[in-house]
Amino acid sequence: MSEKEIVSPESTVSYEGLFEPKELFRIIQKWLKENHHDFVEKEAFEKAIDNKRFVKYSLESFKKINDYAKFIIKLKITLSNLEDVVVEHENQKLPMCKGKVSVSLTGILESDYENRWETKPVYFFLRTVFNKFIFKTEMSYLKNRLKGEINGLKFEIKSFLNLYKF
Amino acid sequence: MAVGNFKVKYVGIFNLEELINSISGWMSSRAYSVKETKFKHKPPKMEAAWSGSRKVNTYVKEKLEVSFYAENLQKVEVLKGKERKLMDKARLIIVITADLETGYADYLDRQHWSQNTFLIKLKDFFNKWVLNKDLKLIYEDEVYYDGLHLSNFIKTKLNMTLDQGEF
Repeated sequence: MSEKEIVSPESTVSYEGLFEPKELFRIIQKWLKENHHDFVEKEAFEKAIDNKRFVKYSLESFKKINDYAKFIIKLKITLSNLEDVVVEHENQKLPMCKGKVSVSLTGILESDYENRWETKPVYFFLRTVFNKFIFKTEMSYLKNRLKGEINGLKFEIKSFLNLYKF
Repeated sequence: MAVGNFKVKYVGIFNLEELINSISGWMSSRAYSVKETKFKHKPPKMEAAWSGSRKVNTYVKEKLEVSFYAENLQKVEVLKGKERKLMDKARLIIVITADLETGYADYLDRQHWSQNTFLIKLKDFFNKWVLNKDLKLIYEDEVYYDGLHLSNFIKTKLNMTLDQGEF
């Protein structure tokens, strides 16, 4: 049983208005690939009521930093009241979507993900002592790095949704 | 030694099945694996106990134990709005014990941390000097507040709380 520590608690980016869901997914996936994260789809759910759609999508990405620590980013994307609209922009008709989107992100630092240091009580003792007293700076560096990555992804989503006005 | 003890005493009308299901449901929703350790029903008395445990890591386990005691238990018919409902009436005592276990046994019930004298001493040293702060400030707090929230949840189910604030 590896040890998972929530470094960045769930934070949400919400937006209501016009946007392209496909582009949003593409941007998230592109960011994950660029930052060497592998990801798995945990949940995909879609429901349509009266021309309006509700989409729920969960992703879990992970990146092995070394043979001891691993970054996990949990992403929950919820699209609600989604309807297709056509927008005219510079004399061009563009198909877009109108609705509400919320993306929540959680950052987790998983240590000893291969359970190598848990087979014997003495190993577990050594691991805890090393983590607490010797690798303290290394662990806090990793936590800060993960927080930075979460902020980077959040910045990317906010820029896409035009949430940065000033 | 238990981290916290919480007691709920109640006399009146309630829905027994709903109360029992909601207690185990609350524990499951908080990632506790729930086991029924005791169930004794001899009208008009009923005794039951549930034990919930949640593994924090391979060394620390949080435990919540709920013991349920009902006496003078009887079925009563209640008029709720225009509906007639069959409910239960009893004197209830529910005790919640929050506890923490370190160096717990694995799934094959092997006690790795008490195999020999060296490991027993190592565990004592580990708890006293290495993990002392974490145990006292993180894990004990978590399980204590879980116990407190569970007792508040039971009080809400039994309509023992006010809808609005006191003032």
